Amino acid sequence: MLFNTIDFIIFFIVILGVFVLIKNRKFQHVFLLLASYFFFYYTSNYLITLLIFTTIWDYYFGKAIWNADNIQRKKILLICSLAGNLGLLGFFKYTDFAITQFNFFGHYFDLGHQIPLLNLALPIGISFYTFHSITYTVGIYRGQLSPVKSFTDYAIFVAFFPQLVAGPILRAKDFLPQLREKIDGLEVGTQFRRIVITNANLKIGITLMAIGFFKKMVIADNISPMVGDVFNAPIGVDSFTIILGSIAFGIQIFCDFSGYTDIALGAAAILGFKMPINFNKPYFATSPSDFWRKWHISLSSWLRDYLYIPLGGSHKSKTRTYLNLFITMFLGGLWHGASWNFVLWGILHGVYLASHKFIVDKFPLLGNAKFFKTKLGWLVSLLITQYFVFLAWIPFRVQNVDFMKYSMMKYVLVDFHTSSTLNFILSHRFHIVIMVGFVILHIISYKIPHLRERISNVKLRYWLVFLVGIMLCVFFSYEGNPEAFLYFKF
Amino acid sequence: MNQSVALAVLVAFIISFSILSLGLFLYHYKLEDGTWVLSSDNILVKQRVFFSQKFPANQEKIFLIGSSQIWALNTIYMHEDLLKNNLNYTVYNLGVALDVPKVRMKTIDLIISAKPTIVVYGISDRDFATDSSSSDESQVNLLPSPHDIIQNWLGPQLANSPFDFNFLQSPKLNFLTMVGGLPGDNRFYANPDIYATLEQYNFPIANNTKLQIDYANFESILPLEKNENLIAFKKIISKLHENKIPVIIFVIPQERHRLEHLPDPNVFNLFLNNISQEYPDVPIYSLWDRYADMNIWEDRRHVVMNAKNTTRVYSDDIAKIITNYLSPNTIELDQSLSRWTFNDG
Repeated sequence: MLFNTIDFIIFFIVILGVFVLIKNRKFQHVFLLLASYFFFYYTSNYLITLLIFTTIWDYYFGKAIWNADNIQRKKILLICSLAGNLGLLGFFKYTDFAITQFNFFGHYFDLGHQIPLLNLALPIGISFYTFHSITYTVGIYRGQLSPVKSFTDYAIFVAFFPQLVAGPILRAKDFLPQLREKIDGLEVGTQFRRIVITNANLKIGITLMAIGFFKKMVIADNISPMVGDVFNAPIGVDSFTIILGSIAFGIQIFCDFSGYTDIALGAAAILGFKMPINFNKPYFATSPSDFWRKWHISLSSWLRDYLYIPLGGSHKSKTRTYLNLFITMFLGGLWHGASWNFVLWGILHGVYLASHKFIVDKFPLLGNAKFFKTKLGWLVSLLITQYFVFLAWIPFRVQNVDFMKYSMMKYVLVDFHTSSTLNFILSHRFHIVIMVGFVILHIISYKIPHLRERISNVKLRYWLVFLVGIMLCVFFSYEGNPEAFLYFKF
Repeated sequence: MNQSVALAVLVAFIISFSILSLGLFLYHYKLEDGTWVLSSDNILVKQRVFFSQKFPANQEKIFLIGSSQIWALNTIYMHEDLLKNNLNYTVYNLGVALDVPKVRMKTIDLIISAKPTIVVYGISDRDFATDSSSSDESQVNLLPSPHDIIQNWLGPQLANSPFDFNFLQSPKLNFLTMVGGLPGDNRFYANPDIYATLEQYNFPIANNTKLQIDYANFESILPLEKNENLIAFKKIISKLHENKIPVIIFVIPQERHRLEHLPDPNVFNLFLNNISQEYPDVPIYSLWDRYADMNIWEDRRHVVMNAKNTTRVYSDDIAKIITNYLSPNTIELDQSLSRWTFNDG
């Protein structure tokens, strides 16, 4: 179910209605689980079986790992659990990709036999719920948490509908305790917390959701046609148009994905659940590592904790550290999609991170230079970082190899032609206005910390004006045929 | 929880929805002699009005359907061409901008109800391009789909409703039209021949410079088995067959710059092969690159309309195809206009 549909709004109102009316905690949990399954089934149909399989698989492996009496056995069980999770992900997401590569090399070496593609449907959200699930079994293996007693609670953790299809990637140790949180009441004593819709949660949740809808429907969806006009057939297009297209795509994907996250965080907040933030003004990052502390935070921290550190992190040799960074980002790129363009995107970021680390290690004085502490130094760092970040968005957006090569060449080797760029800008005035609007709002949100909380804390009548403004923008951006979120395909 | 926040949300919704409805209503309707009449290009309403008119008894009708890329087909010229071979048919150009089979499917029953003698359907690669919402719709459902169940129930309810909600259908399109935010020219959404005044859409032939910098979309095409537009297209053909209405398909001509920038032209050929295999009795004619180098283009996708001595060739060719279909012995098609066959792909 897409967040930006009337279907979801009705679905969510019904859920809230049930939670307001029925206060029994056990019923609420079962209902939340069934609602989450319905949410997934609505668009994924029979592919819900994979979600249920993953849930059952890791629930029992979690218990088995906990009960295993020696570390060797724990390790074997963990490997089995990971094999099931990653095997499912690999089979559905990467089989056809692997067959295509095999056929390519088969053709190259004249093997004379082509393996037919399986044309498997990519289950929505599989990359996300696989990673959620892994945090549970690995968490138990590492002794960070004990297995949950209630299957329903564990199934809610995997299938919790706000984050189910595109994150943020939850950690079992952060989310599961919220389901068994205890509260003290004067009249009833200590008891498990029920799902209660409070005014404060409702206000912050709706504020977040409104901002999310605005980002997705008003900014991302309106910029999307211009991005298509640049990158669907870029051959012959001037450098400045390519750069403009790359900036536009950077804004589109940020608003699309962070918009989704805001809606997810808002929906969870209304139900009283806390989820980790996923974005923290990434286009104000001043180094590649800073960028990854601000962009898709739940993924980058997952990759750090479950891939980079197990590979050795920065605790081995310097060369090994660079290699670890590179491998982590390479696999991070592949996680996004079974396609070489995502791999290239990951490789670029791997190179950025490793190069930055290398420079910082090699020239420690540079990092401490006074210049970079000044406003100008900050601006220079920001522009250099974002130049490379936006360069990397080209392979993320463009799959066709020739188009990608051409676009990246034009981005790097600027041709300084302006006439067709001016024509392009004139014929895309509306999109440019939206982009300028985004830049202004982005700067405002950077300058005013905790803007969302501040909005949700204003007096009710001002908050109502804010909502009317957002709703009007969203309504006038409604197309009748909603655009899917970009990260749904990952 | 007290209800103040929920009430504020409800009030905000009512206020903003009222502003939206009022704005769109005033955009679409105007007050004339005390009654509200449609004033804008609400295409679905206009089509309903067109198809429900009383056509002259015994009139032989040819409906040309497709997107704005068929608007350059001049029905008067075509009528003249057909008459030369004693074929007295009235030709209606029913092209609708941005039309794709999925959208056309909505009016197929209206088309059938008007009982055309032949339907001539112009298609190009764009008809099968991905629309942004299709990524989650392309999947085959093995279990019942709640979305489809709701749609199947709600669709007839809304269709039989005494209120016309069409003016609320795409606020974005209306808003962008109002503020001039559509890429390129923010022109018509209805075939001028039928739904509007012809003169206002008489655009000039583009020069080479304009064609070089023209930004036309190249959306990717989903594979055959997942392509919703192909499924809708086949449903349209099957429905017309069921109602014994013959269909001729032609491939819309394309301009040279567009052809050179197409990511993979062979993908579209797969679609034509698939259609010709499934409907062997439906003739397919290709004008794909027939006029690619001619000086007749308004932009990379559209042949100019109403420029008598230049673009008549397009109307004449379609008239020839129809004549050859209706009366094979009266006219012989030249080699380049011959029927598409499976092996051509």
